[in-house]
Amino acid sequence: MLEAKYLTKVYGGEIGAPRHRAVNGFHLTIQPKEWVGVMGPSGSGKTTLLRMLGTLDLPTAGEIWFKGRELTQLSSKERADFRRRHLGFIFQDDRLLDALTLRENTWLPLILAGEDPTKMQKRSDTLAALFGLDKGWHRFPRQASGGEKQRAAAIRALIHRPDLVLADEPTGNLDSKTSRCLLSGLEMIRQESETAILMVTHDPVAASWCDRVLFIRDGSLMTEVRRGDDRKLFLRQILTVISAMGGDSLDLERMGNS
Amino acid sequence: MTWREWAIRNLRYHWQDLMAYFLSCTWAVTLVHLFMQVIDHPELASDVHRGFFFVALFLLVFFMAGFIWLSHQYFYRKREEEWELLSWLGMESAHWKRLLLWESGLLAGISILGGLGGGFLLAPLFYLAVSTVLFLPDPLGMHFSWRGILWTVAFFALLYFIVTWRIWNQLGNEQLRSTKLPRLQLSEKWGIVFSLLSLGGVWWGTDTATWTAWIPRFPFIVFLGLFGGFGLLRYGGAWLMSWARNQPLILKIPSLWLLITWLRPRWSQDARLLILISGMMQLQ
Repeated sequence: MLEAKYLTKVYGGEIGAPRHRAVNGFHLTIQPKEWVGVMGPSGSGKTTLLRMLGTLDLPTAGEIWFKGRELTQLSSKERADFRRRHLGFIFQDDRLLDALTLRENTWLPLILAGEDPTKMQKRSDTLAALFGLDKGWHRFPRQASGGEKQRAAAIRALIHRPDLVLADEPTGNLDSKTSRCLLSGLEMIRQESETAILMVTHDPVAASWCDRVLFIRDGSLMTEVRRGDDRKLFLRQILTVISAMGGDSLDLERMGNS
Repeated sequence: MTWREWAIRNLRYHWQDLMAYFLSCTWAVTLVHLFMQVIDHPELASDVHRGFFFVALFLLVFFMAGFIWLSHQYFYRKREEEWELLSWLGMESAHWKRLLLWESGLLAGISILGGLGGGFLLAPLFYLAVSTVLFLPDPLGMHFSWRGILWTVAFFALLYFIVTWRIWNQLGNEQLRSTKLPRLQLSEKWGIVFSLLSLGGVWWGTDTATWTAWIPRFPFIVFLGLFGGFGLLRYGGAWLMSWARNQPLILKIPSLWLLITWLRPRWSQDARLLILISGMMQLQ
């Protein structure tokens, strides 16, 4: 479904400014229904990679193919259209509009798509039940807890049935119970649809929900771990790679909570 | 949820930010409406009186257009994070246009209606004040001109439309966040010199003009007065601040009032100065 080839992003390089190669010749393929995790130390290029795949940033070099279309060649309008139709975004800080209730926030992709309001309500209420967000559904973001806001953000990312959800540390600000609720909701949606998920995370427990985890360092792929039938074994493998990387991608305090 | 409902929710949420701006716009509509009514009043026979009101109306419209333009841009800049998120979600030019037209349309509609209503309410008082100031033998009677109403509505509707179109254009091109308001870059010294020369030009232009020569000179006088007054406050203020930095406390006192404005973003300072000068010029 999505294939990135030789993806490179260089920041700086203007007169007097130092050059920084955030992503360096990265290759990546994502199949429908696949859940791919990306882990690595801070500054390793995870978020830059996510932004390029989400067409929010253009790569300095390389290609991104999505269902036969080369995304880096699209115009600004075409990229906006592509994001609206095919992508869903979940950010670490929920990024909801304060003027709208949680429920109304989840409708945004459907409003942009010109959907019928009745369909919007039906679909969002179904997802809210799935994510356990029945209570507080009509609150404004300033009145809601972090977990409620993040679940609303996840529903917003899924409501238009995107092909790919890009999640940048979606559990970063959540406690373990809320994290589990969010991740299980994502898993259920993935099972019932063709939606693939690419999730950047620092949390090994969250990463253990993925089909495979890519470890990147200094903008390049270091190694990849695939999940078999045993999730606990997968988690141990993730932890082993993290410790081999020096453990600096781990937030030990957060892991303790998980 | 429809685009209209979304726009209403946005206006409701940003109501506290918008209130001062909305009241200013409504007041502007009221004033323009009152001036239009007086200019078109059948009992105002003197061309000199009519000319006076035309000049006053020109000044009012000029500064109100500037105020609405800058304020509108400021409010949309303040919502930077919101625009960024919507852009990520795939909002494109046609969507921006819809949302902005609804928001601005609602704001403009309420301002214009409120302003016209205010004009109708204040008209008797205004006619009385005009009659007193102009020493008219008989006070102006109540009269409402459809032409005055239409011109007022048309002017403000056009102004709101142009401002909205400009913001839409910037949001569509992802420029609103990256561009700054146009600013004339001059050193403090040259800024003060040009400002003083401009104010000198205003003084000379008004002092030597006969009544007939005054009207064609008027736009230049307004421009020079605006640049000179604004520039003198801005460049003079900047010079005073830098000069006072190395002076004893007693010499710093004259520059302390400027310090208050510097604690706020620069744009607000410029806007305040612009309003201050427009007020001063209208008093003149």
